[in-house]
Amino acid sequence: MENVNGKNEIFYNYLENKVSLSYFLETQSIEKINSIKNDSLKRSVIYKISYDYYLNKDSVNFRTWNRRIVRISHQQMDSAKIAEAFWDLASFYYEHDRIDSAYYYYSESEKLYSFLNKDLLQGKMLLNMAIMQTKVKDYIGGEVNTANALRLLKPLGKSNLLYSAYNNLGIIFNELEDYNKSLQYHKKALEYVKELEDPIKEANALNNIGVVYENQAQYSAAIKKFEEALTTGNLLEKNPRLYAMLLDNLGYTHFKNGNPQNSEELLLHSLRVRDSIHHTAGLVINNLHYAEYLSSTKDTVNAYIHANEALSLAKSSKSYGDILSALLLLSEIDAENGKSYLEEYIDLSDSLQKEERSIRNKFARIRFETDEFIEENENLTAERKWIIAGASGFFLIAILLYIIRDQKAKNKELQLQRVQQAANEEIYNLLLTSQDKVEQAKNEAKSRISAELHDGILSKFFGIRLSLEMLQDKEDPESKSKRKEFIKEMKAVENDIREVSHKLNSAKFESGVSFVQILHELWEEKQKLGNFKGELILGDDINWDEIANKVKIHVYRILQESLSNIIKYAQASNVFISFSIADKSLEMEVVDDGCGFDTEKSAKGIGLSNMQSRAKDLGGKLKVNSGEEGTKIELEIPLT
Amino acid sequence: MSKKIKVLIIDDHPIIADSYENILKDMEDGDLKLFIEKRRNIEEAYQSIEISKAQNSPYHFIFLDISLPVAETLGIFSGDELGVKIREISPESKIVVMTMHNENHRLYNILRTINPEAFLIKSDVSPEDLKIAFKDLLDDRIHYSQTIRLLLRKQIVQDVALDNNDRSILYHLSKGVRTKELEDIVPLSLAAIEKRKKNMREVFGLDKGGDLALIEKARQLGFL
Repeated sequence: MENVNGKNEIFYNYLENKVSLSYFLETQSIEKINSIKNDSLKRSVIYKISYDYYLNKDSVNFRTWNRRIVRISHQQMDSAKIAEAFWDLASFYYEHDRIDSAYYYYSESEKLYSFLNKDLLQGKMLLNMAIMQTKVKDYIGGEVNTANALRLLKPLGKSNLLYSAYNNLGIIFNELEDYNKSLQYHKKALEYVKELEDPIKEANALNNIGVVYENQAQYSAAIKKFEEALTTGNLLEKNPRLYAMLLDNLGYTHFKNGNPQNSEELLLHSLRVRDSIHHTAGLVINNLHYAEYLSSTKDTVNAYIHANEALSLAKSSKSYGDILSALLLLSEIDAENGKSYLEEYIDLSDSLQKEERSIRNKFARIRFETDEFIEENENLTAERKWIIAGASGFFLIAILLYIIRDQKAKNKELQLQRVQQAANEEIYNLLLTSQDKVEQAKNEAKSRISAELHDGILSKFFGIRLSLEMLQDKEDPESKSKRKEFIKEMKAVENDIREVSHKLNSAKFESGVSFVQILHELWEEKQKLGNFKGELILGDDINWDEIANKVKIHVYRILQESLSNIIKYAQASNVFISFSIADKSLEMEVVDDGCGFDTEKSAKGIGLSNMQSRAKDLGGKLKVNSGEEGTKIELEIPLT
Repeated sequence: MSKKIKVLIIDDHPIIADSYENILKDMEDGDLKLFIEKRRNIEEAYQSIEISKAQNSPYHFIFLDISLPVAETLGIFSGDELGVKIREISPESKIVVMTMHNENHRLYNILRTINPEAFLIKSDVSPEDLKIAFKDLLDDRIHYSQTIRLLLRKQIVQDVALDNNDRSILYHLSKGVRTKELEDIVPLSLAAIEKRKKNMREVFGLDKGGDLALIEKARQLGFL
């Protein structure tokens, strides 16, 4: 426990800057720090180590610890720490002139802060990104990011950040040569700087305004601003760089304004200050300015010396913009070698432009990726909404469709049943009416025979009897011959009776006749319709009376359907239908010589499937063979 | 003095007409002289009767068969209809109906419409009977053969009163005509026919059974 407490205490001491990094690392080995639990304390400590190395400009250790903090923060999804680490890394890269990498990490950090809804920090990052962009002359990108930063920072009222933002905008528009706008922004920056009560920054702001005026060729206004800045108390001690810059700018502006007599002293003074503080970049510009001045006084030798000095300093510090300026100036001063300077100038300028362009492209890519990331996120949410809405919509439609289809199928089935029932009824009626006809014919035959018996035979008998009775007692020859005649007459009556009896016998009254009749009627009707020849053959051994009505109905229907199909599609010229009995089965065969059809394709056709279902209903089989030579339908129904 | 009697025999069977003639001729004597004419169909018979009337010598006796071929030109379809016509044209003629029919309904109808002076069922008749009947007629008497007398007795004993339509319905039903088809035969609606059948069933004391029971009962009661 003591140990843990002790360890924690030193951690806290370190975090509160009560002990230095070196002391802390002496007491705590790296292994020890690594081995402790990954909690916010550990992350804070590691972060601080990394940050301390950054402050100490120990780049190797900084980057090691920076990577470490990023890794362990990742493990715990500690976005805030990652953002902080990226920020440090971006700053590190910036200091090492790796502007593109700096921009990348600022933007990564910005994304995280945006995600964490830390407006201030996100604004800071945006501002840093904008400054990076300005550095590589990506002015449009810089302006956009500054505007974004301002949107976040303005409500927070952080004057120092607002100052930086407006200052940056001022620089951007100065570079874009939109001096009025630049002045506007610089003046705004100046307002914020006054709130800060930081005289150095105020002087800096004034200097920036002066530079813009100078670019506008409003030299006296520029001189006023520079001189105002120089009135800042103790500026030389507080910020010699700024002081030297102001002197340089003031001198150079005087020179430009056509007052070279004031220039030389100011420029030399500035040079001395800069030389004393080893401000290389300042020295380069200062030397260039002075060389220009000397050149104007025709002191070509000294002008060449200073310009050359500026060039070598710029080259040593790899300040390419300055190298270009130096080369340009040298080409003017050293007329003999002017051409080679210009060539060098063009080469360098080209490669610089390429470099800048590639960096700008990189920035654009990073920005584009960021935008895309955001858009993608938005798209994803929108997409998810759409997917959910679409899916539920689709699901609903699917259910609806299913219900509709189901209902349709049921409806169809019902309709089919109704149609079938109607068809069955029709046949029943056919059977009934035909039976009626038979009955009627039977009755007619009966009454005809009855009338024949009654009016013919009976009457004849009556006449014969009456006559014979009359002649009974008479023995005269006339009567005898008459009697013979009457007996002959009786023979005729005998024949009449035989005839009637034969008629009675020959009339067929079986009800089965009716179904046969129906089949014949159907055959004749369809034959006429389809205009084909052929024959309907009914086996003599079929006792239709014994066959159930259901079978008759289905058989009739199937035959009807077959014949209808033949009429509709087959264009047959011959059709043969035969009914026979074999193995206690009723067999029907319908053969035509039409064009046939594809049984596979038409198998699902309602006609055929109806026929099949009828056959199935009777426990029978229906075979359909179709080819180019015609179609053969075989139906077999067991009769048990 | 001898009586001169004009007789017309209407029968489509010559053998029957001949036998009547022979029997009647057999009755001739000094007092009775018969002038017998025979006609085989309605047209000829009708024409002869009209002529006889025109000559103011109507037939005294007309022997009428009921089953005769239809005379479409005259619109007379049977012997009974001819009988009715004879009554109109020649009311002084005495009609002898000789028929093979023995269904009560037909016989009843003949009695009602023609009301013949002599009514004989062919199957009942022997030459002697015919002679007796003819004698009765000559003596201004009515002569019904045995079957007819029985029928009349039954009808009189009956207290059931059936009108002509009722009888018609029963008769046609017994002939196998369906109730539905009766509509075309009997001048009544189907509903009316059903109602009459129901009434008859009640009158006959039948509480159940269909047309068959009704016809059986009607037969028993002598309506058929």
